[in-house]
Amino acid sequence: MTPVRLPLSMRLIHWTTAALVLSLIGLGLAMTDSLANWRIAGIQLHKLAGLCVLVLTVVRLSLRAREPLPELPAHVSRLQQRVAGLVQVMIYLLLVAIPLSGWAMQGAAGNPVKVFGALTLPQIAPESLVLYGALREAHGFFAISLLLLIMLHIAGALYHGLVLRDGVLRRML
Amino acid sequence: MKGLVIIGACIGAMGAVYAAAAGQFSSTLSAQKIVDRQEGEDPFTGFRRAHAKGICVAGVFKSNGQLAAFSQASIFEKAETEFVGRFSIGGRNPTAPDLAAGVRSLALDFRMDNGERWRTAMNINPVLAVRDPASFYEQLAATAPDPETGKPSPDRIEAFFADHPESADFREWQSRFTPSSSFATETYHSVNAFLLKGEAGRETGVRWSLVPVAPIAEATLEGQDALQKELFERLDEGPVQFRFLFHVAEAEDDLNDPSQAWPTERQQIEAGIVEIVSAEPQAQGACNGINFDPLILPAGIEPTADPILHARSSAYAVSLRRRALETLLEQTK
Repeated sequence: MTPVRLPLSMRLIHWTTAALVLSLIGLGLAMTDSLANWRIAGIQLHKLAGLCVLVLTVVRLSLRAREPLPELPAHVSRLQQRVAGLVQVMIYLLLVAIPLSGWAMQGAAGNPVKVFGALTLPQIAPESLVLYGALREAHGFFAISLLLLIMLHIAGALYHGLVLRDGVLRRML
Repeated sequence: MKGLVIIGACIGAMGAVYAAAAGQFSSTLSAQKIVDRQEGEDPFTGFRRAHAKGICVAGVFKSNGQLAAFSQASIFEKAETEFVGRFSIGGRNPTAPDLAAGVRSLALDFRMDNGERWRTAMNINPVLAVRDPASFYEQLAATAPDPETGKPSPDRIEAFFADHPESADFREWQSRFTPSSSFATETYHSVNAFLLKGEAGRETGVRWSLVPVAPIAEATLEGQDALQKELFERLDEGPVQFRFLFHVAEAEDDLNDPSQAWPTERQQIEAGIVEIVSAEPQAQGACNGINFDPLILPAGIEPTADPILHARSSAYAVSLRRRALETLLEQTK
């Protein structure tokens, strides 16, 4: 079997996004209820890293649109391919929706989003308590959904790598 | 089989790590716990969990330029900055009688020309009875109404103060304070200290206060909303003004301890006049959606390491999230 791997650009974006997202969800869960003084720095870092994920995902989607991924090995059933594809689509949607909802909810609360010190991002949602309520809950719900999908994704990848040993995991390594 | 075990262990470990990050296995004090205690058994849904009753105001800060040398914040240049604000009384009950409240507050949200915002939530008490969140949490329990009498127990409050000698300055203030007949004739304090950042890295520790321009008037107030009514009547006559004073810390003043009063001879800088021109009820008012988070600061003002300041920010965010969701659910009914 000839090992098929994804283009280096896709692999780099995948692993960078993975590191950022796994850290962002952990930080988000920890900081929302923390009373500690690091919380304010955590929020700042969370906004910056979240923006990076959004930019990386846009780049990634445009790369994928330009060049389709190499096909999966023939033994992977149509059903499995469909499920894998669906999980990927959902992950991509969340990778866009989570940073956008975070950014928008700050606007709804009237909080300027400052990144890199002086640079303030434009406000993308009008100030509204009700809108904040919706966006804040969406942000948290989306993040937990993404975490669960990532766990499913990791379980699937490890199943290919450790049990089937069919080269599917190697595509991303 | 071995592979499946490894996969199960990996996913299980991951779940445990994130549950731990969310504080599932932790007994440390959290913002949720503080707000749980503030809102009590039967929360007033849709309202702020503390200082639930208030009135929206709007006006303009007329800076005289005196503070520009101390802080690069553009609001301190000689110019005018609009704000939306809120007078409130302490407590969780949005229909409490105005005159029964022990605490009155004024919170402001300055909207600077460059898009920056600055929020400050000030109280009539210049200091707090505590200097750390854990003691504040104890204070909430000590001052909560007794289930039997429906009123706070003086014995428990006495015992709390005895356990917390850092409350001496607060008690001293409480013993000599007499509330005035108007929101407009109280002095409001930042309570926590902040750092002003000026040119060339110049750093100045400060607290600030709003000092009323109008003299205290003898008046007999009546009714549940006596202070709100008085404010509307007063604003019909003209704006309500406060002098915006900054108190400069000296080396021996602990910037991180909101329970200690600073000596009155500390240098004071008057930054300008805060002028309130209008008021409106908080329901649907411009201030209702605003979370007066004291850590929403412009460049040129920075937080100190005061743990109460940071805990306030976190607890306010929890209160905002709860009432925002409740307001959303109410509207989609």
